[in-house]
Amino acid sequence: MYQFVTQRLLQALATIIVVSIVVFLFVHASGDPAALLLPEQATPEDIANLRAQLGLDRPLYIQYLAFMKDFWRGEALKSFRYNLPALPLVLGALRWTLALVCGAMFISVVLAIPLGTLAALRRGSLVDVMIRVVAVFGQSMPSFWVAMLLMLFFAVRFRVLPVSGLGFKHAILPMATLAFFQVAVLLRLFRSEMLEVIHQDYIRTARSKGLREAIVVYRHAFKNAAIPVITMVGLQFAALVTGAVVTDPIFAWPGVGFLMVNSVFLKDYPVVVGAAIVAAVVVTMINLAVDILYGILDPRIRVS
Amino acid sequence: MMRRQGSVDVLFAAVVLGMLAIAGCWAHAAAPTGTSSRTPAGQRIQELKVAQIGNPSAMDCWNFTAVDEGDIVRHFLEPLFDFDRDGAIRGAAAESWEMKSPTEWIIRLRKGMKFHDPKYEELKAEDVVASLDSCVRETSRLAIAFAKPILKHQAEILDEYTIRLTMPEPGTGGLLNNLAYAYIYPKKYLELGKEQVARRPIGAGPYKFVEWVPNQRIVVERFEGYGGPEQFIDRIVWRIIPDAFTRESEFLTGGLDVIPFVQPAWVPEIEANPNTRVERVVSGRHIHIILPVQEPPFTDKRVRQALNYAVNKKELVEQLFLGIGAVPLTGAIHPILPEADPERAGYSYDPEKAKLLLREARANGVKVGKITLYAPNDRYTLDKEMGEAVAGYWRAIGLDVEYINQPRSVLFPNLFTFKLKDPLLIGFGNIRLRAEWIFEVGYNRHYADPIPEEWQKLIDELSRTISGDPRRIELARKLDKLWTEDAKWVFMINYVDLYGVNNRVDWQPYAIENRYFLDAKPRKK
Repeated sequence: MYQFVTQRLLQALATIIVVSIVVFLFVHASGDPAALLLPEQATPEDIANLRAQLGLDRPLYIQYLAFMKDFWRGEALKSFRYNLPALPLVLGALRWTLALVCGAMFISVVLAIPLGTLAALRRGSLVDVMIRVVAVFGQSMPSFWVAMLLMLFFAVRFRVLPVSGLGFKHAILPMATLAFFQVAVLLRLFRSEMLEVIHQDYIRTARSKGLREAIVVYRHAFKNAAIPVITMVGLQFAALVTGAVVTDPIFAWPGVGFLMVNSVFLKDYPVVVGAAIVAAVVVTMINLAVDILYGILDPRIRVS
Repeated sequence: MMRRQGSVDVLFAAVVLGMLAIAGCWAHAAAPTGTSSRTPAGQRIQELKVAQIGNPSAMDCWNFTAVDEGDIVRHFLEPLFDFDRDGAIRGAAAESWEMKSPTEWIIRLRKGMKFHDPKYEELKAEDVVASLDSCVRETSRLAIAFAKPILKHQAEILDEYTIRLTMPEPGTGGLLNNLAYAYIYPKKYLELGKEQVARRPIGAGPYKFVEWVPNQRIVVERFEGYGGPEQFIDRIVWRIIPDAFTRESEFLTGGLDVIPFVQPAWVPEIEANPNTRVERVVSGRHIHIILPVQEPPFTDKRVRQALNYAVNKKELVEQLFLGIGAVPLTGAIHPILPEADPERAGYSYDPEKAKLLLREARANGVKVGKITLYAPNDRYTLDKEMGEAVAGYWRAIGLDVEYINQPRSVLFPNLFTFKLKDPLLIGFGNIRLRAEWIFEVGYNRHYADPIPEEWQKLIDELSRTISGDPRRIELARKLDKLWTEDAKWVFMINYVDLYGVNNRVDWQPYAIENRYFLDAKPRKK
């Protein structure tokens, strides 16, 4: 296990470095931030002065090395746009994103598992069909549309929830938006895993021993069906941390998505690359945790 | 088993139907009533919530550059001068002023203006000199807002409340307009360093800075010791909400009191709501297409005029802006300025005349081949769509046009470094409210060169006169007529800025896109 974890940590480090280089190069290729930071009346001399001020006139590899050195020192590297240290900005946004994503995943799991179980146990019935239709809707509808619909319905039309802002009540709509797709994915996965498991010999044996259906399902079938779903939950969590770029701006939720979108448009290199690095760290750590958990849950993986 | 299965199905269906029934009851009961937050006449507004589209880049004079910052900063930092709603310059910290010569000004300060922190006491000449010395220099990003001679000024303290400003060369008739963006900090506070000042700005404005949480909000509170006019708002919160749909939703549900940049399509819904209204103001920003006059075929005036006659500005305004978000642009000088001629007609829509001009040009050997029109897609309201429309109009008169829209970060560097070889749609916001400024700005001027000596004399003369000088009107209108007739640009539209305002607030917008709430008060019933 120790060897496995060390190996994965080294892989994670290599991934983070590669991500930082790729994002750094892409962001530089996309345009000049100095022109964006100045009004249209700026002269070429003004732009050149600002480029020198921001260190953009140095060779790319020097800029990259300086960036990596300053970024991890926390206060040293400043956002071009906000003139505030980049790392605290990113970590502050990450805090809000994690709050939202945790809530969304909780809602997703709480809804997906019972509904997936019900659909599997009532396969072919009206209940199964309705649940599957809901899942298809959830996977097909674009998240910005879901966000706007939920906002129109619950906030503008019926005034039961606020439109945007920070706080528990304010988080309900963005969480629901994120959860919409996740519920559909997890529900369908859990249903198919459950269907596979409940037709296994050991489940037939448990039933023929006279065990109550609830014991058969939740003590025997559920654990085995849950393993791939847990993996998926971890992967989806990681994807949401970096992928809430649509939901954040719509609900004015100050998460990583909001910060990233703004920073990309404004060519705020330190924040874009910094956020990509932090996201890469979070995703690789979550993947590592999922792999370890998978090994814990499934003894066959542990042994191999 | 079968009976149990059936009862689970029934239970499931009952839950679903029950949820639908509850939703139906909500639909009936919870009809939107709008906000009922009227402040009785004579009382204050406790908190004014304003939508802010973008995150400001900074709250200090060395780093902020645009209206995203300026309209917030003005509430807690007092400048020497500012603009009234008609664009006239007036004293803020300055009480009186005098231009002794084209290079020398005397400014007398108002007495009794206190800084927010009592440690720094009263705003005096030494604070003004220190602030100008620190902020109005070439090293500041704000330097772009100032004419070059002003950046090289020498400031001298004549007494506690009087300063003399000396510039190395004339052409500073617009000094007061420039100094509307020179904010005053306490001298001793500036000595603590830029980091400290940037984190916690202290000024002498009507509001005290409270906090700025990036991507969330900026908050200011009324300053009891302000030496200027009474303020009727206790607290202002700018909420950063980049999405237009969210801003509108928040506004209609009472979460915001003021929203800028209202889309024309929202206006009926806002006006139908009993608690909200739309305020309109002709903007200080217009859109034109720069024609690179040194590049063929744009060297030929007939070609440039043809490109103007081909554009149906009225149709653009009706179709894209629904007749309310813009007006046709009839000249170079912004219509909000007194120097703009209200009678000027500009270029009418006359495609036949455009074709005739092109034929004449071609007959005289001018080769008019493929034209590439560029426009940004992320800078101005409906910029991409305006560019598409113009490309269509030019094609309709027989031109081969390629239309390319790109982010401004890609387009503008070519413009600012004078590498542009093709027409580019651009906007110009006249934050100085000086008629000649648009002809002086680097890229506008470069692509229009060479200009006749007579025009340069008009520009120089204008730059030496103070705003409000009656001579400016004749000079500016003459220059405008020459510039328009020569068709250095294709004149497009002038924005009409639309603001959504909650009916509890008595406030009208400014033309220069700055959202100042210094005279906002509760609306009388």
